[in-house]
Amino acid sequence: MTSTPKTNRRTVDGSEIRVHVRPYADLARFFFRGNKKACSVKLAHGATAGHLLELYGLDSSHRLTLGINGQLASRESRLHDGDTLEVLAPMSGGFRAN
Amino acid sequence: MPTSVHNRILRVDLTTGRTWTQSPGEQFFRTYLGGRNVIAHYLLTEVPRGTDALDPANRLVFAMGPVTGVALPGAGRHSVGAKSPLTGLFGESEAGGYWGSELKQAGWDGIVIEGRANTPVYLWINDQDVEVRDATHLWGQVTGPVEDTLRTELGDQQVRIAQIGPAGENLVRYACIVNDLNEVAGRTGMGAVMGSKNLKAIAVRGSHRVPVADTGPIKSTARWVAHETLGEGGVHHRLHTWGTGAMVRSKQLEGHLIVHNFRDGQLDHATDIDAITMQEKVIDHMDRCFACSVRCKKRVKIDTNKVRVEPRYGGPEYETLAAIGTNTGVTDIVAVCKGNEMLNYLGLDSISAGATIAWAMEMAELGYLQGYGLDSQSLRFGSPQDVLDMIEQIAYREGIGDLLAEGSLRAARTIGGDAEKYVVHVKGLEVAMHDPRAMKDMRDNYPINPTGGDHTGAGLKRTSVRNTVGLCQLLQYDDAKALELLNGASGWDMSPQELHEAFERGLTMARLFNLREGMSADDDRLPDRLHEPLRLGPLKEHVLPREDIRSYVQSYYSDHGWDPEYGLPFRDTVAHLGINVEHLDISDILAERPEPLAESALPYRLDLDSPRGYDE
Repeated sequence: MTSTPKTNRRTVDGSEIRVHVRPYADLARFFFRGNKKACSVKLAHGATAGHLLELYGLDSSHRLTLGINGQLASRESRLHDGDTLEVLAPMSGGFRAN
Repeated sequence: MPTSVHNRILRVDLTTGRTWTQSPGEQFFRTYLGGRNVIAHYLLTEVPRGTDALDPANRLVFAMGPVTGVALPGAGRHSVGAKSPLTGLFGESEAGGYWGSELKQAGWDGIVIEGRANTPVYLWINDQDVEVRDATHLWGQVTGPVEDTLRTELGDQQVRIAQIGPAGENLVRYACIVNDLNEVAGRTGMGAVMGSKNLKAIAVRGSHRVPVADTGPIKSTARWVAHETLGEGGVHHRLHTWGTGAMVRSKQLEGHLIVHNFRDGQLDHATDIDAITMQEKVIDHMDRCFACSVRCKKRVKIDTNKVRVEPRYGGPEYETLAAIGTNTGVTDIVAVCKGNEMLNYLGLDSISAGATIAWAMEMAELGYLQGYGLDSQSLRFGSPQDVLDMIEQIAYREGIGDLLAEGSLRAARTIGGDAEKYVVHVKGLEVAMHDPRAMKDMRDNYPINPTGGDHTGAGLKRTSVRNTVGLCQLLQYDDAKALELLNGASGWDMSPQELHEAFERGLTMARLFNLREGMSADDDRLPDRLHEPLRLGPLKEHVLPREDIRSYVQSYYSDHGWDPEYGLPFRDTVAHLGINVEHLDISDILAERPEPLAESALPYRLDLDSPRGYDE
């Protein structure tokens, strides 16, 4: 009998995943109203960060910094069930970066 | 025609106590505008070569811009300059708040201070009446009580005060000048220059609105900022809501947060001290500079049994969050807020103080400070109490604070060995809290900035234009808007070409001053640490090659009409920019082209069609 390797990422039923989204600063307005800090989104299995963002109107014209489970990610990064996607605007302090 | 330029500069000789008015003429202001350029003019023309920065002969220049004091968001800026006691070169820093606007409302475009008073004094400027008054009762006090005392003494709670704290009195080489208790002319040690003159404070009261030639563009711009840019999605919404510092999270993820003396790009719990967290936990309210609806200034209030932080000292902006926070390994928001308060009431530049402390922590870790009784257990990365203790010791030059008060480069040279290779500086100024290994703007700025490792982009056109005009860099005004506001305020019909040449003129003048005071092309570079890869994070494999910086710098020299090898301004550049070299003692630092160029062929001529030309 073979054993299935344990993994932190499990597929709910093979066809969809649930991802937590934490948008920061004024990017929250794309996802929800009020004082919420995060929301939960169902996506098709195999979805990327870019797919999720486009669902909420953040297409590639929006320059963003993305993190998945605390690690730097990109729009092409694939999402898994239970992931937390952070969505931030790259911004500098006292200086306007190009 | 009314104009925002008064054609009045207050001259003060503290040795004799004499004050007088200098009216250099409208063309002077149109040639130099204000800010950095006016400072460069006085340093080149009045400070003899080789003058020590703390000598009475140094000039301390407070330079407003033509737009400073106009009722417009972002028009609350002024600059302070002198030969820097930290770098020995061109020293300059900008500040916001209300003080600069008050000086314009009093009818002055600037102040130039020379000499040294025998005993501590303060200046009282009440419109056109100027007095030099005794300040022995104020000497030794921190900034908050000084402001309270002066407002009571002068019988007016609306008086605006620029002052030094104990750090400036003790000639800490990166002491700053604090105005409105929360706004700071921070970099390059202007507070020490003021302290060397025994000048404790400059109190100002102005009773006249600054006139403008054409109110149309001023009012329409003010309305645009207030009504169209502050709401969600507006270009100033983030600043309006969180101030600066909301990018700690993105820098952490991207791996270029300033951590442990620029060694690491990430730090656990760094987001505990970003501006978003601050708003949730410690911000009392957001405040503003003169006439600005953006209101990006934090006011922090903490009142517990153990710690009290007063809102009147403001709250840490990004540079402070990083300098005394992440760069020292500290992620305790209460400690960072307390540290910010201490820096403002003692009068210390947060960037140089934090960077010097972080360097000292690394020195302690490596065993270089055993002779001072310190090791990695007594001065530690990640210890909030060690940071707060060091701030106090530096301001009062106590214990190792006396060494660190000299700045990290001088301190390293005193320690000897290879301590200097750990100092993160350019031209002796500690590098600001943005990493050039990740940020192109900083890679382009730090090596060639006349003041050194300063993030405000003095060598770059966009920020220099705003500095000399008197506008805040954080407002989203492009060059066309800046020019429109300048002309509307002053009544001039300045063209983009003329504005561009004003920037080039100031840049070349600052370069001439630095070369005259002993800087060379060898100083136009980044420190060793910034050519090492970060130890942690997504950028840990990335190395910034020295040859890339050298290549960029040489290209920069050529772009600005300087010889490409050593960065000496060509004689025809200086002539075409209208810099009169006759009495400037700079003949040995001008380069000669083999063949002089026609004016139309000069490399720095504005090309409206080029990518680096007019910023629309």
